[in-house]
Parts: sequence; structure tokens; C-alpha cells
Amino acid sequence: MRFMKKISLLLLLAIQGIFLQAQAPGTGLQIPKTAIKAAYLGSVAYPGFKIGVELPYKVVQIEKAKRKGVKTFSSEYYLSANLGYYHHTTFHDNFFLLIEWQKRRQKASGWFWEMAPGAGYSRTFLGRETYTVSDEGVVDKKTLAGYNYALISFSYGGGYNFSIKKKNPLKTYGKISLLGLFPYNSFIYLRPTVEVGIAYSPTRFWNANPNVKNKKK
Amino acid sequence: MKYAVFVIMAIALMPGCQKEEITLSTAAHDVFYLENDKASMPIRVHGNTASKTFLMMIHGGPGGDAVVYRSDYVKNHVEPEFAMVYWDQRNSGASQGGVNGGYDEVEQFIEDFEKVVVLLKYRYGDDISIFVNGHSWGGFLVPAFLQKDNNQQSVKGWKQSAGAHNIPLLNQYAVEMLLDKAGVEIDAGRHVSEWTNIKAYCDDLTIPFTEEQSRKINEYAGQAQNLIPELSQGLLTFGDIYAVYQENNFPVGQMFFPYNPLPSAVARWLFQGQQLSDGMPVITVPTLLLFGKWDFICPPKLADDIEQRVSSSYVKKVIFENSGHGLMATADKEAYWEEVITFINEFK
Repeated sequence: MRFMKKISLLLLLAIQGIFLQAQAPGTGLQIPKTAIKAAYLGSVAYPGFKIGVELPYKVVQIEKAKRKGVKTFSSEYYLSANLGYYHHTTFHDNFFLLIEWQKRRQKASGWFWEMAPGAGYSRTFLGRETYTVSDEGVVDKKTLAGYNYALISFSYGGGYNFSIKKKNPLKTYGKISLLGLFPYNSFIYLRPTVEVGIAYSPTRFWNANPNVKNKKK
Repeated sequence: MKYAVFVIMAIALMPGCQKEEITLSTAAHDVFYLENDKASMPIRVHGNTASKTFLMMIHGGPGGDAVVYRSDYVKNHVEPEFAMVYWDQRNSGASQGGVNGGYDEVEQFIEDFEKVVVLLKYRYGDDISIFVNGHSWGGFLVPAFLQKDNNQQSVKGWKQSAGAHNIPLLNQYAVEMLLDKAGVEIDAGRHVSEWTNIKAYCDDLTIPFTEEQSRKINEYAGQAQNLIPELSQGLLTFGDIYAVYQENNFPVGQMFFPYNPLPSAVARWLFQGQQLSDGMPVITVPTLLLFGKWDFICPPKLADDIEQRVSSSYVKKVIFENSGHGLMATADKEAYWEEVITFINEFK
């Protein structure tokens, strides 16, 4: 397990290091950019990772009149594609592809909250050797035993967008999420997880041009 | 970037590097899976495999798991004597798979059971001695296994621990026990409203019971056990179960989302009035019947039915005075396991 934690940490550092030289302007609320994400994805004792790309497609910038002045925030909508993995000793290793729809509320302070339902595909590999026994009693060992499942997920959490206050196109975030594999044992397997990661928007990378709207309340 | 790609590839290849563990030692800890008819069921073998003696725990439910029987007492006092085999049945515990199993048939469970026995002999040798211990629903599955074909030739003996081999009889005895105890508790002024409810329901029942009545009797039996706190002392708390699951790498999510429609359907089928009494005479292997005196869920009088019907040359019945349904973990656990160890040492 320590080995897995080290690998996840190295992965985070490696991907962060690739883009350290990139910068994006950051003056107040701005149009979000496509970002590359990398996260530790795990539960209490079983580590994993999740990497992906988030693509903004719609932004609603809102100005709300308050007694103390005008409050500014934006609702940002993303589609993200992710590759994930976790290792659960003796139970299974799970690789999954996940498409998420993200709704993020970005505050002028830099803090944000987001929720993300998602759907995808999961492939598990059983965590120990697996045998089959024929009706005649012949035992065989099965290699790469495991199952294909449909995957659903829902995550909720928050983070900080460094590009709002400083010229640093980096976000950090933490989320709790629930993964569901189905049909699992004829029903569903639900797995609570924690996701802690970073998202980075390189200067020249997949220009998204989201649809921007402004609202005053 | 190259480093990141290397790390991802290394992780991707990990599942292919499983190390097979077949251990003959005094303290083995093996985990492996049986895949059968679209289900993969974990089998955990802990303890003294060098003894060449294996005790299979056949868990309750339907839909429970085997690892909860792996208490500290079992680890410290039973596993050093022989190997304990914790098999999670299909659609239960840490078993995995897609859509599998039937809604109303025990045959699939028996086939899985047979293949677990074959697999144990394949891994640990044809010369091993296997004993089976059924608890609750497992106490239906074990005699069902023994009564089929020549299955009993593959085991050295069986233990019925608060097992449910005959649902109509179980219901009849449970209602008798509930009415008797309700009278005593109401007179003593303990939990009067709860016992009055139980008594009122049981008073109105007439044999034969319907499936719905059968389920309600089971519900009241569980409630009755909870009304007598000393019967639950020693049973695993939520925190204890979490610790056991973590220790055994069991998916703890199952604690929070335990529902599965298939075991529930099997339970419905069971409550429709299934019974194995008629087939008991074919059983000839040594038989140990262990019941708790205060078990409203599987009343101890069920032991009499088995004792009178089996053809085994050795049958022993023990009723534990201070126990309910969780007899292997509560007040009489030391005496319970002493009986099990003595029985196995005699017939291994």
C-alpha cells in the first residue's frame, strides 16, 4: 500500500512538473480554460488515482446586488473525461473511464464548490488467484479474472482557483465521491472515495471557447 | 512525462503479477477465488493448514458474510488448532460478479459448495479432513449439501450451529418460545409494551403460517433477542465489524449498502416453508448439534428433529444455557468452541 501511495504522489508531482512553466492571466473572474487534472483517489486504506481533462462549455457570470455592494460569481459548466484506478488488496484492482458533467460555482475570492455526476465503464481484476472447477471436478486457474461493469459516480467538493488572485493557472481541489458499479452481484456495488488533486490550464492547450452569458440580479 | 507514462504502465501491469499463496503452515493466511456460473466467491483460509484439518464456516443470511465469524477468540484459540475456511456465498459478502444466480433455488448454492470443497482438496491435498459448520441460513445449506448425491463422503463431520433446517418447525417452536418468554417478561415488568406486542401477534397465529407471517415471526424473534441484553453481549458492534472488515480487506461499503435483491429473494423462498427433515435419514457422518437455549430465531428444539432423524452413528446435542442466536461469540463461546475442537479432534 505504501508503494501505491508513493506512486500516486509521484504521478501528481510528475504531471504538475510538466506544466510548471505555463502561466495564464488572472484578473478577477475570468473565462475558464481547459485543464488537465490529476488526483489521488482512494478510500481509508486503499489508494488509487484519477487523471483527466476538463473542458468548459458554458459560463454564466453573475452580479448580485447586496447591501454591502455587488457580489460577483460565476457558474461554470464542464465536461470532463477521466481515467481512474484504485487498488483494493485481495478484493480487486479497478480501472475505469469516466465522463463527468461538472457544475462549478466560482467565487471572486478564488474558492469554488462543485458537483459532478458521471457515467462510464469499469474493468476489475480480482485481487487474488481465481479458479474454476468443472462439473467433472477439474480445476483450472483463470488468468486476469475480473468483470466489466457500467459505472456511475457522483462527487461533491470544493477547491481554490489560484488564477483568480494571482497569475497561476492552477487549481487544487478535494471531493468526496461515490462510485457505483453495476450490474454487480445482480445489483450494484457502491464505493465511497476521497479525491484530492490539482487541475492545470496550460497556455496553449485545447481552446474551449465556452458560451459566455452575463446576468445581473 | 516519460516518467509519468512509465508509472501508469507499471500500475496497469500489476493485476497480472498476482502471487499464488498455497501455504501449509501453523499460521496460514490465504485468499483465493472460486469462479462459478458468473460469480467469483472469495475463500479465506486462516490458521493451521499444516494440521491438514479444515473447518468451513457456512455463513448465515442469506446475504451475510463469513469473515464476521473471525473473532479475536477464533483467531487466538481455534485457528492455531486447524484451518478455518471463510467462504462468502454468491451475491453475498465480498463476492463479485455480474447478474448471476437464481431467485428461488438452493441448487446453485449447493453446486458452489461442492466446488469449494473440490478446490480446497486441489490446493491443500486430497488427504485433508474437511468439516462443515452451518449457522442460521448456513444451517439450511449444510444439510442440503450433505443430502445430495455422495457429498457427505467429502467431509468428516458436520456441525449445526443454530441452523434453520426446517422453516415450518422453526416457526412453530419460535412462536411457542416467544409466548412463554413474553408471559415471564410481562409478569416481571420488563419491556412490557414490546413483549405485549409480540404476544398479541403470536396469540393470533394458527398453523400453517404464511410467508408473511413467517417473516414477521423472524422479525419478532430478532426483537426478542435484543430485549434480553445479556444475549447480545459479545456480539460484534458496528465498530467491531468495521475493524474486522478492515483487517481482512473486506469492502466496508457493504456495511452501509448491504441490500441485495437475490439473497432477499432466497430468504422469501425459504420463508415459504422449506424443510430438509425428510432427507435427514440419509446423513451418516458424525453430527454435532449446537444451539442456544434462548435462540428465538432458530429455537433449540430444532436439534431434536435432527437428532431423531439422522442415521449417523455419532450424534451429540449441546444446548448452551446462556446463549441466543450468536452462540459462537457470546457468553458461552468458550464452551461452544471447546465442543467444536473436541469433535474435530475425535473425527479428523
